[in-house]
Amino acid sequence: MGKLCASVVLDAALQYLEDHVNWISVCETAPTTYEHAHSNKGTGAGLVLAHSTTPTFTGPVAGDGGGYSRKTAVDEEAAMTVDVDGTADHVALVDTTGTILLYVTTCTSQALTAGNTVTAPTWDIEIGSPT
Amino acid sequence: MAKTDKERKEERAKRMLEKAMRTPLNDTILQVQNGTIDIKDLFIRIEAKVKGDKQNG
Repeated sequence: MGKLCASVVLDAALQYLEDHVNWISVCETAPTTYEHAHSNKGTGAGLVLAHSTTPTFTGPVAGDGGGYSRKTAVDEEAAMTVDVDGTADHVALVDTTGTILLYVTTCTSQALTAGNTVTAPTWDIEIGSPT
Repeated sequence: MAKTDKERKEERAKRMLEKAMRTPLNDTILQVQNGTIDIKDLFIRIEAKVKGDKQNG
């Protein structure tokens, strides 16, 4: 017998991100708190090198994993201004209204220089089929 | 006619601004990794309990 999870269940979680994320930041080392992902490196515990206040999503749609998996795409965030020199290795999604760090992923380590720009191409958040 | 200090400073600032405008900005493109969340249920443990109950009964 196969296991089933209705798409509305998983879509509710993905939709929560779409409805609440209003800040995307490129960070140096892994952010685990709101302050890490919202304050610039050098300010308090901040780890942010660059950010945008206009992240957008496309989805939810069927996931790449098949079955009942669902995913949403975080759209490309082009040419964010680098505010602080550093090495980017994480990308964070934040709800500034609720002051909550909602999601963190990794990216290939890249040195960034203040004054330049950084682009985060589109990437997916996927919830797999139940196993 | 000699330039005043103020004029020299203004000219220098103008030259520096022009130089900065000519310097190309670099756009770094990150390689962001997708995130996958797995869901695992507890049906196996519930099944074992039912089997255990049958053996005891």
